[in-house]
Amino acid sequence: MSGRNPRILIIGAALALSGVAPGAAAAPPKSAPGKPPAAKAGASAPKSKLDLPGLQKSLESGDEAQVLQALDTIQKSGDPAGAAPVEALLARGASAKVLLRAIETLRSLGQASSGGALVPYTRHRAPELRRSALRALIATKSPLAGDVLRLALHGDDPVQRSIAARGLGDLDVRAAVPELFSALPKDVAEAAQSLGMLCTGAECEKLLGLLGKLRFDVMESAVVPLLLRPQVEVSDELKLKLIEHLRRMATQPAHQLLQTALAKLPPDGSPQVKRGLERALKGFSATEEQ
Amino acid sequence: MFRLLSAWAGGIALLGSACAGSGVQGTGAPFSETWQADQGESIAALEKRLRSTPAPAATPVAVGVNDVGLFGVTLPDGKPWSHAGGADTLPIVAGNVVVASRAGELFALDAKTGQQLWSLSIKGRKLRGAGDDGALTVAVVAAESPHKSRLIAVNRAGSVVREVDSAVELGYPAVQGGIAFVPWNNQYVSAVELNSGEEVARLLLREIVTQARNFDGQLWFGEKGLVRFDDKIHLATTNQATRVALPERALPGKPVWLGSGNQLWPVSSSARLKIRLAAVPSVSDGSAHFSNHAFLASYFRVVFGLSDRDGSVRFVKSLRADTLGVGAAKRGFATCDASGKVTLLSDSGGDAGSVELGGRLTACTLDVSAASFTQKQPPPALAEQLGEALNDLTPDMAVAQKLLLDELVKLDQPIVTKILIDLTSSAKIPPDLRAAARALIATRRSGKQYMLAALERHYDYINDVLLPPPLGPLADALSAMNEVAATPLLARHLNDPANEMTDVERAAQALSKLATPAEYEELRTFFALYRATADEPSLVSAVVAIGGALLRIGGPPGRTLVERAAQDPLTQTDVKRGLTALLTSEAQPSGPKAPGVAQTAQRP
Repeated sequence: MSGRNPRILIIGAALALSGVAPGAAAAPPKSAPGKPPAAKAGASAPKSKLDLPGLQKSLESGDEAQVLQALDTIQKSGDPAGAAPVEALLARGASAKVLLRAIETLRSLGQASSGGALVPYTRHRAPELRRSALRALIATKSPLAGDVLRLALHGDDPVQRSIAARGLGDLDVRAAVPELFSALPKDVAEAAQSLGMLCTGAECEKLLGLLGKLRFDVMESAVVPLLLRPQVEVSDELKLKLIEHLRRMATQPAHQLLQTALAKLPPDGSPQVKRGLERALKGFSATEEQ
Repeated sequence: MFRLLSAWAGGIALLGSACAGSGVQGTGAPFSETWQADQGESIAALEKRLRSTPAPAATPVAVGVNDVGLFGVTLPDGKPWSHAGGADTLPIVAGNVVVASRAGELFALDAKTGQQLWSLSIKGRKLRGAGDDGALTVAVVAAESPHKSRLIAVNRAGSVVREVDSAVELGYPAVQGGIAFVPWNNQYVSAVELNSGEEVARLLLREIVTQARNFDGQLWFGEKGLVRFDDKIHLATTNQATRVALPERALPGKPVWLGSGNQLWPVSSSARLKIRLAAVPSVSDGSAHFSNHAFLASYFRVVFGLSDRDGSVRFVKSLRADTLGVGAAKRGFATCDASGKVTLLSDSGGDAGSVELGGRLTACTLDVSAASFTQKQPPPALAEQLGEALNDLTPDMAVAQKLLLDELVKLDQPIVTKILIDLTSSAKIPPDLRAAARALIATRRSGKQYMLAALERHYDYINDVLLPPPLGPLADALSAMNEVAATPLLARHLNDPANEMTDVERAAQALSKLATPAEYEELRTFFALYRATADEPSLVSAVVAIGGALLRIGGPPGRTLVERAAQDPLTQTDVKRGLTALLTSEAQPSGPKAPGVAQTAQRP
């Protein structure tokens, strides 16, 4: 039996970092009686158009319809000040319907501070809550998200793993590259795109080496992001190698991928890569020397 | 071929019983049903006469059979030989010859070299049993249809010195000093002087007798139990002869030791050849027992060494292919498997070497009753042997796995806990066995270190940990052991959705008893996540149990949490009821326990 699972240490650290850990769940034990955390948070926040005390009251009413109405109001307002009472609601717990709406509200508000309230729900037993919490966490760009997504990549829910793999690329979590490489051949196709967004140097060579070993439909999502990366991150030489590899495959999907890359190449993109794409699409070697 | 034929074709010839009861003088034609019991006089006199001419022990040899031929090797380290052409029934090792039949021919090979000694026609019959006294080979051959047994005695030159056709079924014969011992009618052993063809003595047994066997030069008669051909043989009718029998023991496939000597053992892929027992009777200090004080049982790819006193398991070994033959030696055992490997074991199951017969086999015969094998490497501890065998067995071996598991839990060693945990974590273990192992883990009270180590592990898709630890059984065991060191590990598992809900429930119940304030945050998170979303009874029970833990270790914040949840309309109805009951019983210390918090017993 190996020692303690590092995954657990990660989530432990994540929870410890989150605002949830020391006394945020359920009733707010750290708050003064009758004064919820939302009000406390609101005190130092910029003035809000929302009736925060009224919304707080509705969210604590225990009446599902009232709670949903309050969440609707907050979501429609788009006011970041509305995040804190929703986070407190998550910390207390509620019915699945309310929780889903609350998580969706935090997602739409996109406040990094909401991460702590969302983290526990990324491990909820109900898949829809768990997945929704992961998506919301990605949207908040919380500093907790990287570790939590890496942890989610190890979980037993394939949808959760896909969300996590994609999120790690979107959030530029470079530390996750080794895990994404481990996940890629294990039916986590979304890892390819993220690796295309995150790899550097030898990692990109390794990714390129998987072309032909893994199914093309798994690998294709890595190609365009990789070709669109700036030269400081991925060399033109490697990109041309990739283009040439795709040209030599001489398949319709590979050809289409080259067309997509050319179409998406920014005007200030590498002229060498652009030339290589154009040559490859005409059936010539991507590197002029050959 | 020259034959000195004396046949009672078509039935039993009756030559009178004038000599009955007159010691070793002829009692007449063999297999007479009008024979009068002589209180063991004739057989006792014969035993006395033959005492100075013991039968030779069998050459230790393994003989495999496939479609191509016979493959033999003397043990422990002889030179392998082969003989073209197969066999239709199991070949038999008799003294220093190997006797077999094929396509209406009976033939004998030199056990050491495989060289053919003789062959003769047996006209549609097959080999049933054989013995050899160093000069003569006797065989009983029979047709598939009943009542066509034939006793044949052949000398080394291949001449038939006696041939007796019988309408009664003749069993497995032996021979000593020119006297053939032939069981028949499930009751008698007729001693037939091969030169004269006369029955010179008869043994009447009070138990079924179909076998006359030579073990290491000593004759024994019987089937389920054997009586020894010694100076007490005349007491057989009163059950006072020297007797051995294996202890009663439930074993997978219900193997029998020698089985009926009246049957043929066809070479086939039948399971019958793979479920066997091997034992060699022996006498020391005047008492009969079995060599090694043990016997060997096979069940496809596993062999068990069992005590001859009580049948308890002494060792276990799994093999790379199905066992086709087993043999007990004076010291040690041997097995022969379908891959053509002969594995030698010491009396304690340790490695004593192996040899290859040189081809995949359909059947295999072993006679090592006169051999002694030297241990080259001692076996691991029995618990480890059991664990190894359990891991090696394929899912279709459920019966053997059950026995191994039953034996494993009889051992009061901490390592057993680890083996059980490993079983529950192995993807190749069938569900029934995993469930049984889980149930047994819950009953363990030793091996705490292995339990805690298992709880450190969580489901991990990327690192191929595709089965979480047996959380529920571990929680039950650790709770019963009052093991507070487990509480942080159990608390972490509460919030891992990869665990089965019923396991989480049991962890929650353990924590309701063991949790310390250090686990407050994990417990509170769980409580918040599920107090209003509990959608199945086990989750309700878990939430209520954690509510109880929060009341016990959470101080005023914990109490407030539970009280508010008990009042919140969004809290799931059953959870609310359970929490209210908890709070009520808190107020009344002697009150009833909250529903759903009681320990659940006897769950896998």
